[in-house]
Amino acid sequence: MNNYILQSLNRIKEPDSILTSSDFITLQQTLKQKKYALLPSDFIDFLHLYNGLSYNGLTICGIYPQDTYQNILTLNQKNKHPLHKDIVFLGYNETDFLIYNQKHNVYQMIDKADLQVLEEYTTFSNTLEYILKIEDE
Amino acid sequence: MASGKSNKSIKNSPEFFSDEPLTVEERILDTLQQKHSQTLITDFSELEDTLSECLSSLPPEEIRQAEDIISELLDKYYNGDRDVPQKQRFLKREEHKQNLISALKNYGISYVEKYHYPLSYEEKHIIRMDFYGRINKPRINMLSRLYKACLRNKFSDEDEEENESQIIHKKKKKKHAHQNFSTSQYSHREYPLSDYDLNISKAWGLFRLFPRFHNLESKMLKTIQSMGIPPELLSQLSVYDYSDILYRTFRKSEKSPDAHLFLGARQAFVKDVFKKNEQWIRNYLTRQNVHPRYIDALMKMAQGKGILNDINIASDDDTFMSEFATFHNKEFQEFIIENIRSDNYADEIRNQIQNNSFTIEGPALHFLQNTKNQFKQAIKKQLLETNYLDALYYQFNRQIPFYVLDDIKTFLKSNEEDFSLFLSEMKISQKTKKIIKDFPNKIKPQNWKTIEKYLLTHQDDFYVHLLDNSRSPEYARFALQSLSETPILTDFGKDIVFSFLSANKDTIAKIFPQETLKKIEQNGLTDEVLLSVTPFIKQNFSFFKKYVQNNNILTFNELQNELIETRKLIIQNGSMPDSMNNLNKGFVLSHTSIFKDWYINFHTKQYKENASQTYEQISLNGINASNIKTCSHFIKERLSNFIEYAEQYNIPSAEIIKTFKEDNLINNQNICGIAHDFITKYSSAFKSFLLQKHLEQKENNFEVMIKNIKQNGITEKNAGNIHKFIIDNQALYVEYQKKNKLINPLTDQIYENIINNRSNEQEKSILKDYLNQNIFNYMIFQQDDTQLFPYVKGIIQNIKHLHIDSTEQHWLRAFTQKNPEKFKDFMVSQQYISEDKGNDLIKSIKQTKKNLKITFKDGYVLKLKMTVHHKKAIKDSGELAQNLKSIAEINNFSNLCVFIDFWHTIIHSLDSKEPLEDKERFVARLEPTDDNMVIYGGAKKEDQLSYNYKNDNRTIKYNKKLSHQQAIISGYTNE
Repeated sequence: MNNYILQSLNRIKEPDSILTSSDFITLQQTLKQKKYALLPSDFIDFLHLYNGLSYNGLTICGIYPQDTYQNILTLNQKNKHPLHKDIVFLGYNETDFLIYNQKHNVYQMIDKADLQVLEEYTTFSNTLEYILKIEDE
Repeated sequence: MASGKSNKSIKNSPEFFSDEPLTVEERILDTLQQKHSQTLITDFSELEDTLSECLSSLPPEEIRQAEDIISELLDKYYNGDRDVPQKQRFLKREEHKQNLISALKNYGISYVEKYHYPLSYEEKHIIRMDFYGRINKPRINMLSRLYKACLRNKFSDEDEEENESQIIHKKKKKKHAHQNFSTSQYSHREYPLSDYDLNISKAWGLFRLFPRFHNLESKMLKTIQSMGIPPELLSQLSVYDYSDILYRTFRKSEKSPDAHLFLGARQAFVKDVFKKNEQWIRNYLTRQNVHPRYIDALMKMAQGKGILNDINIASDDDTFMSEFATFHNKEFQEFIIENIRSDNYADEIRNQIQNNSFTIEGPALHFLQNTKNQFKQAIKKQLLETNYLDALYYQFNRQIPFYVLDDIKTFLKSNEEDFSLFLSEMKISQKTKKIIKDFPNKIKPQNWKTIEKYLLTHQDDFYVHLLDNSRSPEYARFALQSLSETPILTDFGKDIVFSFLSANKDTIAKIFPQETLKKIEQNGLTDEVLLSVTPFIKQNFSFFKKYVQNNNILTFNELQNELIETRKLIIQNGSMPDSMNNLNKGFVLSHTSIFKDWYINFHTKQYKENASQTYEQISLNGINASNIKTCSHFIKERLSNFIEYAEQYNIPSAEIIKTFKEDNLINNQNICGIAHDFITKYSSAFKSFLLQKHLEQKENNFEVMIKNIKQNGITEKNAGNIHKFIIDNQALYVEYQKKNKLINPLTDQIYENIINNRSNEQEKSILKDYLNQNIFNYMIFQQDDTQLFPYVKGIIQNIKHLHIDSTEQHWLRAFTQKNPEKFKDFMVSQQYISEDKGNDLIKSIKQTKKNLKITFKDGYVLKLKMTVHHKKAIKDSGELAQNLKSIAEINNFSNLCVFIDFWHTIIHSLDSKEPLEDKERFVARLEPTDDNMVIYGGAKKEDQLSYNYKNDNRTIKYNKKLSHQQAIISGYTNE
């Protein structure tokens, strides 16, 4: 994640993550067991800084012990996608989901109702750029 | 919910939904189910399980093959054709879908498109009751058979019996299946209350999701008991049966068309929505160009009372009054002038000042507000004066900069013998070494004085010592100057000291010898005299301070210049006082680029000299251990050139590379010699290399220093550089001080403190001084037309442009109160007052913050406020809006709506649709969980606000146990 995006993120919220490596390992194991795609490495980097984030109506999920909608595992269990082996749900807003497509190695914003791909990004930085609506200052 | 085998109904509904007729989609699906033996799916998400079931009979290889085909088609459908460019990827989406569907058909799976399942009628029914807090009398045909049977046993209500008997009669005629339903099976008798357990009722489970219904349980159970409904029947009752029970529990009379379940339900909802989404609604209405005053009023009403109609916009009274004053422009002007001339503010203020318990109110407050800018200027001047006195104080208590102290220490060390002789002459028994060691922090005052004497007598030696230690002559002069204790004052400073001394002649005569007095009289304030009177002023500085304050005749700008001059002298001749740290920090940080340039370059000359010296040493003595690193670095940077150069000595390039790679130059005499020649040949390049290295180092140091200044301000580490920078850039420093506005926030704060009677003693004295000095000015102002007329003209202009401040407000109110009849006439003529009261006279006009209350003599009271009419604030979709069609019909809504106002529609709905290319599209989609309330403000995405029922604190308590959707799903599946 480049400095520019980090600065923009810092403006929204101070880094608050206290997740440890074991949290990630456990989550990845569970995702694998439940036949979901695994979390990509740059998203894990983000989780090391922020355990989830809510901004501009969009929630990026994190790792929480409770059975909440901010929890990645809960989000994946509560929502179904025909290609669930290839994808993992990462966040949502009122109308869309943010997912990672492991097969094509891209982040996608998909429509909640018909799961149609609306936007596609190659890296999580690009995704954040779009989500945070970062513009050149 | 969406898939099922052919032998299953599409909606596996519990019994309490049994009365609900099948939807069109369900009917289609049911027909399909009968005709085909294929498995139906309505959602591809269910495909995995269905596919594995359908393929189970096939051999494993074929299963894998089929799965691969389907998975590839799914991928194409969802992720598009990855072989084509991104823009064209989804062009064939529909084609891919059809391929998928036909492939699925081959494996015995039929896909039926289903757009959306709306909430069931029962759920909507409950939400509607919860929203309105009211329940209509349920129609008899909505009730379940069992419940009706119970009713027949208990009640003898004629209408009901008639209705029921009619229904039963008809049903008997039709020989309906339940005609033999035995009423005796559930004959009326009272069961103990404890036998009733609502947990077994799924229909009541839905009610329980709404806390307010949950709270009604105990009351309702009593009704159920009195109705004699058998406890085991609770599980069979439908939502409408419970509605009927609720209706019976809460109706006012048997013939009431409806019953109120709980009060303020709608209000609570509106309050909640407006409290949680205030900013969104404000933004939305602002986008619609709604007047801010209207939005404020709406927010207040919605958040406070939970209602949206009959909004009273707080009337902008000033607008009426300013229109009135503008209407009677001439009279208004005369009124102001006359009032100013005849008032006795000056006397009143004088009385107030004399009063010990002095608070700012009445005329004084009015006077201060009237002369706000002037008063602020006076405060600023006071603050400047304080700064100036600080600067003077410092001049009388001068300190030697710590970096000069360092030099003194080294000087004493290098002249230890001489200094020890001097000490013995002064008969000081302490050891010289200890004194030098203790210097400057632990040193005793008497020794300190001795050192000063020593330095003063050895000024020339000290000067030479500084030059020897590569200090510049400028610095050396500065260091000598800083040793002097004599205050360095401006001319004005000297004048004021002199007049202070003259004013205290008698006291001085007792302290000082006659000679000094004579000298003062004859020569004025020479440096010698100043030095001798310094201790006296230091001791009596508080008196001196008061004297300066009382005898300061400088204007604001003059005082500012004086302060800048004094500070300049301080900076030039001594250390920087702590009181100037903020100023200096601000100066440096606002001129960082200049500071950087100065910092890196001010030693360039010295570095050049150093570089030349280093080079000369190398050229004389050759490369040795002390300079090998630098030389090696220099050659490494231009190794290819060096290799070319070395070719004439037949040195193989590999050897050279190896030597420099291993940093082994010192051990290779051959190459070392050639390197020496190389450096000598390119001496200028080598010198500039050395210089560059220095500068790079400096640049790095600078970054660290600026960071340090930002974090810690001015510290001992950076003070030296900053001090020198300021001395070298004095013009810039003066300019910065003139533009510096650090004083403004402080001034504002003091002004506010005084106006609000929160002032401390110092601020009070500022105020008293100001009032004392300005009353006379005010009295002049009262009589001087050249001052008065522009003042009045300014007020009139401000009123005309509606720039109404407290001054304008004061005059407007005074004018309106003096001319109530005219005001009334004006209001009537402008049709602000619709009731014409003929010749009735106004008794009084009372002004509050929000209203203007006009009381007429006959007792009629008129409160001026503007009302915006919102007759149709909250509307059910079923009701009619004015003479238009049903609101729901107009807006394609099928459920509850909240209209915030008629023009700016915000609708609250359970599920809302809009027509889109002959299909129905859900504008405000329902969340997959339980967000079944939506605020809808328009077709644009940003105008849509979803209301999450889950987060509503009225339901949150229950959501912890079971979410709304989960409850419904369990209601479907458990059965």
